[in-house]
Amino acid sequence: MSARVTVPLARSVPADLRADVAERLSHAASGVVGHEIAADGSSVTIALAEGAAPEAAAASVSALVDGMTARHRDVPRVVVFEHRVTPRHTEAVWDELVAGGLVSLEGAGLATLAGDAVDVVEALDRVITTIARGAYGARPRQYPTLIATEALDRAHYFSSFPHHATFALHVRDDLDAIDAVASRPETRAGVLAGPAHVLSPAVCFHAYVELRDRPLAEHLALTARGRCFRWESRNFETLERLWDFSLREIIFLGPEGWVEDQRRAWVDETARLVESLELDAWIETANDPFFIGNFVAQRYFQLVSHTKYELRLALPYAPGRSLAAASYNLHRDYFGRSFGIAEGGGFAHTSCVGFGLERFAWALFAQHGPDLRGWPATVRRALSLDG
Amino acid sequence: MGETIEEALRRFLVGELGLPPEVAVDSPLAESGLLVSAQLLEVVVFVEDTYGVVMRPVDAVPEKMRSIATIAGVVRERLRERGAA
Repeated sequence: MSARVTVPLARSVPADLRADVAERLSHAASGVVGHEIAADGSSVTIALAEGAAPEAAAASVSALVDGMTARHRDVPRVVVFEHRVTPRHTEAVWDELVAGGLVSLEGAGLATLAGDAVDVVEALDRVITTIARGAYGARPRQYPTLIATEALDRAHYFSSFPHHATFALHVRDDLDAIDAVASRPETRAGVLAGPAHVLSPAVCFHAYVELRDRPLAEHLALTARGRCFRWESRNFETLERLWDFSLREIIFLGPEGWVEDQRRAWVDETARLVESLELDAWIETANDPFFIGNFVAQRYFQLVSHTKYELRLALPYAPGRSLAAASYNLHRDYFGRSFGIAEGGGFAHTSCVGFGLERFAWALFAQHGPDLRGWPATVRRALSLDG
Repeated sequence: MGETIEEALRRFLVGELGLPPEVAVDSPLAESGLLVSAQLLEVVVFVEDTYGVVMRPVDAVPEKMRSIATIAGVVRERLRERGAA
């Protein structure tokens, strides 16, 4: 049995920060194997791995929560669209999907999809891509999965999301190093080069790299699907939160007004999509999962300036819970400036819309049930699932 | 005569947030990259601490944080409200 320690907090965790703090606490210390925030937010009880130093773990937890709650401002979420319906299915679906061979886990956050689960992911991607390339003239791209750390430095990624980074390493070009990897597994860690690359945490960074350090000839819409990687520690769960997941993005670069209009139009596109899929859904203001250094200030900025919206889909097996299946992000000229993409005497403005395909599919199964053949005919038609 | 709201804001932006000394009352702050997103909260905290007003989320939207002049306008509005209460 693991030891438990209750850590009193200098400031209570406000109700609107509980989810953010709970998520980040998983990253506080490797010796912490579980945590629970007290109902009144005044303390955190942590479970420790055998041999973990309680004082050091408590200090890390305390510092993390303190960093996230200092100067906190309550900024209510603003709902910009809602389609609230009573989901037809309310039972848990994970066990049935596993039993039916539709999903399995290779490890924490690493999911294998098969059969109908693959069909739903592909159908969603087809529907979104058709809209993006048709109505928005988005040009297709296929980007690498690896991205240079230098590119993410330029995007200031590590100062905002250091906890999510998954570095990719290769063996040093050296005969002894190669031999060590081949024959002495215990020495592998010492013979790796880098880290010069990261497994991409999002697709849109590649678009800024592609267009870097030159003027933008015309306003531009791009679309690409990529495998994305975000380390989530103990937060991995079902298909809701994966380490390795599929993201379909539509990226807009151009003048401020046009870029903003495209993002707004995608809120409307999504509204039509979730209505056709008969989903219990809404779109609201949101903040990115910044780590403590930037969390308080960036969260405040995003929430008051409406620079991020999220599509929330209800998870009826857990009343009150929902997941974010898509996000709508306005960057102003932040990435244009960071990557030297000139436009109209200044820097290009950018926005992007990203759909988490496994998450979206998971919510469809959760709301309509594990058996695709039992889904409403209108939903099957909207996804062209009948061939 | 005491410092005006505009002068106090300018002193804070230049002295504490590192904006260039030539920043004018009507210089666009965010659009020109002078004021980065993470500094918005610092401006709000400065205003609240200095003038004893409460800034609401709607006070910190980009249109109202566009320049020293627009921020000063919000401060005056909140001061008027406080005075009327």
